[in-house]
Amino acid sequence: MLTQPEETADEVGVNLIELFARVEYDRELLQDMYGIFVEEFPKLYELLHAAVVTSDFEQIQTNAHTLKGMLASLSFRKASATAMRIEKMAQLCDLTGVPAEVQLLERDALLAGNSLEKFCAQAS
Amino acid sequence: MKILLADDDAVTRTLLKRTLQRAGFEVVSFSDGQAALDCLLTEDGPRMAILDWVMPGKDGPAVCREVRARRNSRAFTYLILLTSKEAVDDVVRGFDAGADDYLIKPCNPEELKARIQVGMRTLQLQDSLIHEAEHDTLTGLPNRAFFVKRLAQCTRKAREVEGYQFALLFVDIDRFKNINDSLGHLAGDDLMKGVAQRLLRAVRADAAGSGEQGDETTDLVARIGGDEFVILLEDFAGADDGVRVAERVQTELHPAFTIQEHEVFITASIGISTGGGNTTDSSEVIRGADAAMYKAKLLGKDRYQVNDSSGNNDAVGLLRLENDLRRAVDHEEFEVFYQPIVDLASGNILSFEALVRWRHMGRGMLQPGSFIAAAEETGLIIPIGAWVMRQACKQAQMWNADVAREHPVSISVNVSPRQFMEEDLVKRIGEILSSTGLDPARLHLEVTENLTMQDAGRAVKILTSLSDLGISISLDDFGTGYSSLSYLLRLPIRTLKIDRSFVANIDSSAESSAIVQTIISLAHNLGMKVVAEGIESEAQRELLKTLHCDLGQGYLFSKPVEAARAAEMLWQSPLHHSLKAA
Repeated sequence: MLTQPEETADEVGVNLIELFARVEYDRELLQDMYGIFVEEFPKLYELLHAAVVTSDFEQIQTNAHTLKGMLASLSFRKASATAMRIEKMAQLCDLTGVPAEVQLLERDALLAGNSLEKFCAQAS
Repeated sequence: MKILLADDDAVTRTLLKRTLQRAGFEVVSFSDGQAALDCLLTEDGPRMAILDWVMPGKDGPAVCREVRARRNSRAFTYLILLTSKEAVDDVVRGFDAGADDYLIKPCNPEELKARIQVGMRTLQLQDSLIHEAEHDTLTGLPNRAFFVKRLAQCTRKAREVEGYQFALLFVDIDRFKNINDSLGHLAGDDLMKGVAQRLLRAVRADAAGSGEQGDETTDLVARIGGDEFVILLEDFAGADDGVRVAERVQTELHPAFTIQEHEVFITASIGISTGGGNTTDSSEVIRGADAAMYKAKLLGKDRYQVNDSSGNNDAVGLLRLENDLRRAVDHEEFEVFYQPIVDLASGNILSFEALVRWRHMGRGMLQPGSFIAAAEETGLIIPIGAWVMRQACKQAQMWNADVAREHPVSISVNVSPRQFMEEDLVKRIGEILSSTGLDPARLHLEVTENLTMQDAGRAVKILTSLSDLGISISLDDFGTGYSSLSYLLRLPIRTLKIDRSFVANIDSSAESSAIVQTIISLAHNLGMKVVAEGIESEAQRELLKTLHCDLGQGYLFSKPVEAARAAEMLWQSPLHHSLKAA
């Protein structure tokens, strides 16, 4: 059994208390979700990055939307909020600031991922 | 319950899938909208779906729209859209697309389960509304709407699948109106419930292993009207299958129903028609079964008829018979014939049975067998029966004032089921006796066992009233019905008439002889007289005499004859001969 996380949202923007409750305290599920994140995030991030390079607003929007949902389900709040901003910018067909947001998204998601990995490892 | 989950995000999909599985649901999951739609549109696809808004292939609202567009082809599906907090405005568009509810991502597991519960309640309500719309509330059987839908499926399948055949049995309860009128509508309702159960039993017993009613693959029993039921037999080998089920239905319906402490006996007329590759329209099959059922009614009820290619011609013929009968009533084309009933010991004629004949303008003299059932079915038996009774009473009174004045003869008149149900039967007979002047003691009314048993309480009341007038009651065709001795004792019966089927074999079958002997002993012990019907040989007469049978009737003595010939027979009878000589 995992130990109960102490903080509500750490400095990298992951709310482990909320996430642990969402999986109904199922350690195995949490680990599975983390595993999927490790596998899927790089692919989605690459697609997003490629869409930004080619200024494909529709693909930016689609990939940002999928990332937003995935990160929200993992309670990666900062990263999810960043994905949402990218999605909105793409909706407005405004690429100004998008590359910086994409970099921020990668950093926030990986930090949150590390935090989650550490939390999962605590109990295993 | 099976839930479809569609989300292109594998993390959310895994989270929701595991949450639902933990709550006991079966989950099928997809990462694109088109695959989800294909699954939802399969015949036994999931009844509930959680659909992400944005998906490759087809988005959530598009899936909702397509499911709703094909809503008539299958059961209702409850659709939940997944959306993000920031897109609440989308919710309205989602409902417009046909969604029933929405969930905001990331989903709280408790909220997810609560929304699923709401969906399940909605589906249950939908199912119960559909069930009510397609089922008869009284019997619980599928109703006309359900039947019509299923029949259309069968007709379609017959066109598409080579060799596929189906049969339709149209089952109509004989004289149900009489039961309803005499015992009341609540009793009628109880009877219909009982009939429904027995029909199900008949079908299930025949098709061992068949599933629950309403199942797409099993035979169907439906109630499509007050006393009208249909049985739809699928994938059958031939008309014999339909006949076998019809026979089972009759066997199931024959034993008494106990309705509000009354024993009620019923019969059914059944029409059978079949459908196959040549069937173009469901209504053809219904018409065929209906016409065959009507024919079964007119041929005397309590039987089945198979519709064939000449079914429509039959229907036309029956309609013509009905019209001819109406004209015959108006023009009094009937005639009463008389068959003597003889004292077996002395040979004297003691009475006559009045038997109606129809002098048909085109077809000559018709026997009762060719028109009485139609008269009964159309209600024309009421005026015909009244006319026969008046003629017979008048004739008997004339004989008793003349040739039979020293030893008056009696006249036996048959009372039909329809007549027996008439409210003013006792009053009408009283009027006939009064207007013809016949001594009530000289009138014998013949009723059948089955007729009296349709509503035993009413039978006892009416027969007692008639008996109180001085009229004798004879129980006709005795031995062929289902009555019990305790029941018979309640009726004011003076005479038992042994059915001709026993008399016919009395000199060749030890069993028939034993039955006749038993009936005679029983009747004598109860203070009743016995008439043996259908005596055709001296051997039969002699045997009946040795068994102490009181009276006999049959071709050995005379076939039914016109009034003038009957008078001559009276003159020649030893009892009356002395009067002539004097």
